[in-house]
Amino acid sequence: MRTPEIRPGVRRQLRVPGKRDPQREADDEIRLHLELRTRQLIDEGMTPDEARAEAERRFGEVDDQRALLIESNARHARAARLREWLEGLRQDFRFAVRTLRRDIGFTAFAVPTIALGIAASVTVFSLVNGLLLRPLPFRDAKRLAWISNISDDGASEWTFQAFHYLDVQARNKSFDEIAAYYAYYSIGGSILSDGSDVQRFTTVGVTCNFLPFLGVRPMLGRSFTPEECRWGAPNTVLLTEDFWRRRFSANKAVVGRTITLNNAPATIIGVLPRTFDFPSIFAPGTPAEFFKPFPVGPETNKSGNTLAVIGRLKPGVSPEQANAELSSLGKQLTAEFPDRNTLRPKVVALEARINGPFRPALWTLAGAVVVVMLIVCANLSSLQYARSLSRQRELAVRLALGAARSRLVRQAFTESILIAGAGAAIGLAVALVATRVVSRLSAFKLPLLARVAVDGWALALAVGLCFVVGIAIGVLPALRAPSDATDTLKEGQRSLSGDRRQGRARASLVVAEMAAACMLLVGAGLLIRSFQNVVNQELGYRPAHLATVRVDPPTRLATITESRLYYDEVLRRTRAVPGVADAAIADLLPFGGDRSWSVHAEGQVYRRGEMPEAFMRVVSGGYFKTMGIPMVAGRDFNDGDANWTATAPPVAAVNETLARTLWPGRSPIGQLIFNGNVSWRVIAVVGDVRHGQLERPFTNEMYISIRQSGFSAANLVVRTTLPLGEISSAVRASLLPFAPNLPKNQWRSLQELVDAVASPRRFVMLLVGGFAAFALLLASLGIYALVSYSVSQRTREIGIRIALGASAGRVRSSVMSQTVRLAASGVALGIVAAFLLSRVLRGVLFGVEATDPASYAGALVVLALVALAAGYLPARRASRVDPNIALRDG
Amino acid sequence: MPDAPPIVKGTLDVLLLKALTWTPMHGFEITQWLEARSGGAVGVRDSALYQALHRMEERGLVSSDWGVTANSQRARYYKITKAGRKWLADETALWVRYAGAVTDILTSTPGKG
Repeated sequence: MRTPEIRPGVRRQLRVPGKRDPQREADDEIRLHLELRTRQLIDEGMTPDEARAEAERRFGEVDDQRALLIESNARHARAARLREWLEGLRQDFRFAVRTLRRDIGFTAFAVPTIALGIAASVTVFSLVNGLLLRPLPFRDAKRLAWISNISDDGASEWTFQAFHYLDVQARNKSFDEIAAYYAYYSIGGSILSDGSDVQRFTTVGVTCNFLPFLGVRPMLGRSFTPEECRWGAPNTVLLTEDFWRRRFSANKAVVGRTITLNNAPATIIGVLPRTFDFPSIFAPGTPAEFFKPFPVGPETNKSGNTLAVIGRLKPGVSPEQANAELSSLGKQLTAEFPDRNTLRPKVVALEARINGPFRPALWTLAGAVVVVMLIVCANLSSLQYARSLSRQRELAVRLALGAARSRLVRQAFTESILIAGAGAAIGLAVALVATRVVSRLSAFKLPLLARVAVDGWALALAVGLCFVVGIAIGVLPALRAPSDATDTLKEGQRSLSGDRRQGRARASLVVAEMAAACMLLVGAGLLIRSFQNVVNQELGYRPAHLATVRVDPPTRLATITESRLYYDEVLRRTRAVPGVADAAIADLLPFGGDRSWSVHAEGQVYRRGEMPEAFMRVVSGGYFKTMGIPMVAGRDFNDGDANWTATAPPVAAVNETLARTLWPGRSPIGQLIFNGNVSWRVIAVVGDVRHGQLERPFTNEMYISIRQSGFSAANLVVRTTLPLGEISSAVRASLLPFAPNLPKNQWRSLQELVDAVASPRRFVMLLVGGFAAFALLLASLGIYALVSYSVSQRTREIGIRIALGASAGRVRSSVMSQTVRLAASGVALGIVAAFLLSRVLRGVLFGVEATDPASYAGALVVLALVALAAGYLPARRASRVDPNIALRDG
Repeated sequence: MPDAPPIVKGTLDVLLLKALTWTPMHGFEITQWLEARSGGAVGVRDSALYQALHRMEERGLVSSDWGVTANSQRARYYKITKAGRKWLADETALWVRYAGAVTDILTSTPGKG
């Protein structure tokens, strides 16, 4: 047996990886075999020719065998190449880890920077994806449309009257099907009593087809039957899954059980799955525990406009086409049925209706995040580049020792992708937390917010960004990898042309950073000014020291006299509590709901459909004083406002806007105001109050007395200097003897309610502001690093200048001039870019133009100051160069 | 030397691996080793040998490397891998059990037992 001199295991260590040639290997292997076999046969006594023939015979079809061996060699070679490549990658990786650990300062800066950038990107993407991009969680969601009914004055969107709903359903040609829910269901309007346990919940009335229409199937039990949807049918309810788990401990036996809801029996017929989150889409930030059938018929037609309507467009029909068809159908129905309310249907895609209002804000955030990522890349690219320059010699040595240039390039990318990967991992973790927090901000009242989460797409984005960032920051060092070892080594450290080139590359990166930071600063400035304008809007009342709680009667009160007694007593007891300065009751607080009535003055004739609209509130005496709403003329509601007669109608107050609308130039006091055939005598004119959104102008408002109406929702408002916790227990203690079943409701300050309205705007402002601050920090670090570097490169030159008599001031200003040049170009570029892009922001601005000079000037000043500060440190260092040391060492 | 009787189906791989447990060898060395060990009782078609070696290399049971023979000829040396040793041990156990059973049956005489 022959043994090779060098064992293959050893040989492998010495092997220089060469190209494997499958064909040559097969030939060599076969040739050797035939040769050895032939020799063996000759040794055994054959002639050379015989031996050769016999060897080939034994080997079989040499050509076929050769082909097979070539094929398997080729497969083998491919696998080997892959292994080698992976092995190289492993080496690169280990080398990169070593380098980064050695340069811990750079790593400690780069990784968190990328992490922040990626966390912001992934979080904002998850928001955009959850709120704007993903389809609504309904069957055929893309074809769903919202059908509203435009108000007489065209300003607001109303609901449908029952008969109109039925006729549109029967006559329209654009929709496969329409469905509706009762739009005025009362939040907390359902009292569930179980012995002494009395609690308020919310029930949503829906048309019989509403749930199947949306593709919602009960997880337990069944949906409503047509019989159950008739007027006067025994009460049936469906529960939401969360409520079922919370209240009934997920007990499956509740289906079929009868409960007491608003003092009447109701049968639970099923449980709706959590995937159907009605409030998150139609009434964000509010609860919904029960669903019940809403009968559409003559009885509900009497209540006027009540139905919020959704339709599923026939395939191929656009919302615009449906809108045109329904407009003419509306005119037709209005003309045909003079006894009904007017109908002016308006069709928009359901998605647009739901996310339309906050689209501009989200796209603003998305844009801001893109700019942040650009800055992150520019900043790290410039730093990485500087590092690579200081490593040129090391690279040249590796090149001289036989490393391929492609390996050096790959090494550069491995290192930058490794940094980016570490940053992405941390960023992703931060984004997971951030999206969780954001999705639970119930104060936002944003539809679909609850479904915001880091999903597969967000994950893909993080991975994608990791590579984009890795490549972006690795590309300059990779390009700088020396191609010729001897040159680099010979040249030493200094290459004038190289210096100039690299100086230019880094300078343009820093200018880009400044420009991007400038854009973000301008954007943040505009948002901050808008926010100030919004929160400084005149509210019409003073929210400070006001606290509120629901005090609806625990059981339904039979007569107005009974309810009057109840409210009088609640107020009497509350006002007696020490620390309570004022107390009053209102059925709806500002920002609490947008119920409005068509009203007209006595003798005024409006054409049908042109009647003014007024927000309507039912309040107790003392409400205006408690809230701090100025009494302009007349008197407050008082205990004398009780029973009324045909000649002495109930009383009402109007705000200044409504007074101007109905009685221009005249005093409204003593006049009659009508809603349909019902009239009130105006006894007061009060100040305007912002009842809807903060951004909307004042509108018509009217108030009627709670002592003269049957409305039963009641918010107790208390002016007090006591903290919420104290006032809560004090008032409760005083009310309990009189109303032992009063549910324990949450006290809130009125300021909280105002803040909640402004909170989405504050959120966007804070995020963009945060991005801008981050950008500013990175840009100033960029300037600082660049100027410091150039000072260190010029130490010798500066030393000579000082030796020749240049003053410290001269040196400082010469260095500062570099900073000023960089900052000025960056700011100039940024301001132009911001100006061009500011149109995007228009949708989120309030009371400020997208070209607001103050915001631009502010950004300019902030940026200039920060840049000068960043440049000052290296300038001061330069002016303190000791010429002796500089010239000796330089 | 006349052709040896054909090898029992399915045993080629184990025999080759067994050969390689001694030392890494090139193809021809393996045929020599097998002939020497079996006293000519086991014959391997030369082409089948190479196919088997390549197949096992793809399965990771053997690895190969180019080396030089004592006569300075370029030769491909095959070496058994860790996975190959494991597979060989398993197959050997199986083969011994199987062969024992077959032998028992074939050597039993009718009428007894």
